Amino acid sequence: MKVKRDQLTGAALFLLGIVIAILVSQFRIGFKPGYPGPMLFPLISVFGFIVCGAGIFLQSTFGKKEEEVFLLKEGWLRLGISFVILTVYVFALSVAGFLIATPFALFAISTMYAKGQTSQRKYRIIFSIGFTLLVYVIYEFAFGLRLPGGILF
Amino acid sequence: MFEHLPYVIGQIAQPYNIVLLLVGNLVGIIFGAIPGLSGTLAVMLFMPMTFTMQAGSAIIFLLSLWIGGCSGAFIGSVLLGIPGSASAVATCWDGHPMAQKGQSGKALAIGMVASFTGTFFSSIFGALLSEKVADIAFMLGPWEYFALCFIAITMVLAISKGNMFKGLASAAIGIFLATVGYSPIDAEPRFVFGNIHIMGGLGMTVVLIGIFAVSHMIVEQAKGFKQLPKVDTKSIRGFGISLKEMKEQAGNILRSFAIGLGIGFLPGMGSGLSNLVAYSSARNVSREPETFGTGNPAGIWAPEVANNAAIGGAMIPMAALGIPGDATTALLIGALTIHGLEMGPMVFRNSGHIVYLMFAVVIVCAIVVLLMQTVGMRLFPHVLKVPYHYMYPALLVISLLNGYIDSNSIYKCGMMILFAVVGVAMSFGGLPTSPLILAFILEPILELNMLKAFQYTGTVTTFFTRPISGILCLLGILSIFSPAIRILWNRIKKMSAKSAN
Repeated sequence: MKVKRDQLTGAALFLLGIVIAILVSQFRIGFKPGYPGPMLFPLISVFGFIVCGAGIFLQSTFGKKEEEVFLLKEGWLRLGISFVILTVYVFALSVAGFLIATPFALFAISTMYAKGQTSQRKYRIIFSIGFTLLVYVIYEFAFGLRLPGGILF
Repeated sequence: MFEHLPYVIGQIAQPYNIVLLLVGNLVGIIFGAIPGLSGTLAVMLFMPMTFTMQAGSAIIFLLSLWIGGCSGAFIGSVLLGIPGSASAVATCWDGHPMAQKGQSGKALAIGMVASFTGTFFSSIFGALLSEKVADIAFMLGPWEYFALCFIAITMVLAISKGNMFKGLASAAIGIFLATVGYSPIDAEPRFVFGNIHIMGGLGMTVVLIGIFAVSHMIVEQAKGFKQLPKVDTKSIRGFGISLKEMKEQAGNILRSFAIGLGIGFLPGMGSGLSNLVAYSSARNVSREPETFGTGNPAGIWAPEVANNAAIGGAMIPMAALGIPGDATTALLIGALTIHGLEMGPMVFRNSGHIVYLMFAVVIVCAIVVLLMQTVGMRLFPHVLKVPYHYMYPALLVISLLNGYIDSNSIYKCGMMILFAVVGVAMSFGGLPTSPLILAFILEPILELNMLKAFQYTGTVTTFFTRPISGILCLLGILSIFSPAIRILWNRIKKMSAKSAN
């Protein structure tokens, strides 16, 4: 039997609720009827996770509604690559700083996102460098905000 | 009210603020018009840029983005048949058929004038009413505040499309994320694990931009960008509508305005609901309801007046009670808190000038947006052609930088990517976004007021014995169970119909 998306969602929420419940039980200040203290709202979220998780799971199990495909295999791959590029970009920001890391990140992302579109490499290079400089000028000079400088420079 | 006029004029007339207002409106219109983006997203993305600004400039920039976004949402609906945001869903139903019939110019003009009418007059109402509401709010205690926040969350759940469990789960995620850090009053560390970066909480910027903006763009890209339909630019000529046509719609405009203002005022509701209600009421009272959906101008006037009238409506509880009328006002409350402005009844005594600046900015923005749209009407189709492979990488970089600006720490950029994973998981599970935003922003107010109430009386019964909080709490509980009640009611009706037969 094929596992439905809602079944996975329900099960994940249910499990998350149990994990949070265990963490909440370790709080120093306990729950009292006269003063619920810091436990109440985390417990409300636990209640929400467990009840809704079970509800979504059961609805999906006994329901006949067909689910649309969320992403095809290629889509999951693109999603994963996006996350990898962003993670590398964040690491590069901390090492090389904004001005060095950003043009490369922008070029990589725009090249990947341009797949199937009509886009020339030279325009993507111009965009990557131009946008980096534009953001730098706006953030640093117009708004007086500091951008990551990195540890190398 | 008028004693604040010099301050308000002084702020709006500053050259730097004028630039912010114009840029904010323009960016807002673009974000509103392009399917997949929205005014709310614009406010979310550009909010961290305002951290170093003075409060007045920050308010002007953020409100300009919001008003531009609300107003620009009809452009995508009319020209592409794809709503720019949830507030313009009903506009598609008649706006796009009109455009297909070669009346794009007329449909756009109706959208522009209707948006202006809703925003302009609702903000005047808001300015006049909010101080009166704030006077009443002085009579409210923590019980009532708790109940107001509670009902704001539960009403959003009640209108969660499709699955109530999913709406509740989204709110539960919001509550959980908001509890991370030291608890109010007792200072108990919750889910901190000794990590200094999250002891003060996860931070609105990191959580909301990560979950909504970053994940949205990544998922959209992974799904593959769809080719947008071609736009007929030849039919955009002149202003498109006459004064006579506007007069014919007077009743429709007034009714839709009242609907928008009323729904906007209700905590937790907003333009996403008002446009649908106004559209269906316009169709119900129409002498020719069969023409709705085929390009009836009344079907554009109604949703566009209502969704923009919700702006002024939503600003009343935001200013007077500190309770958001919708997801965007929730973000604005968060942004203003960063500038040391605590919305609520006391704001009129402590910073009344700021509140009236807000309403004045909305009024000015309504005029500026109308002018921009009138002049730039022929450029709308080009706005919709901005290539996604340039737009999304640019927005992704800005999103991550916002994480850094929020705390001057790269760590928060990493956290944002983590929350983007949470956002992808939510999209996978089909969980709605509004309950999370409201629950995340309202949880601290909700918890603080609840703990204060318990400190005063030491019992839960006071929440139900005080008339206002009692009614609001009961309404909140009823709205949680409203889908179940609706199913039960339909079954009873069916059974009684069967027995009558």
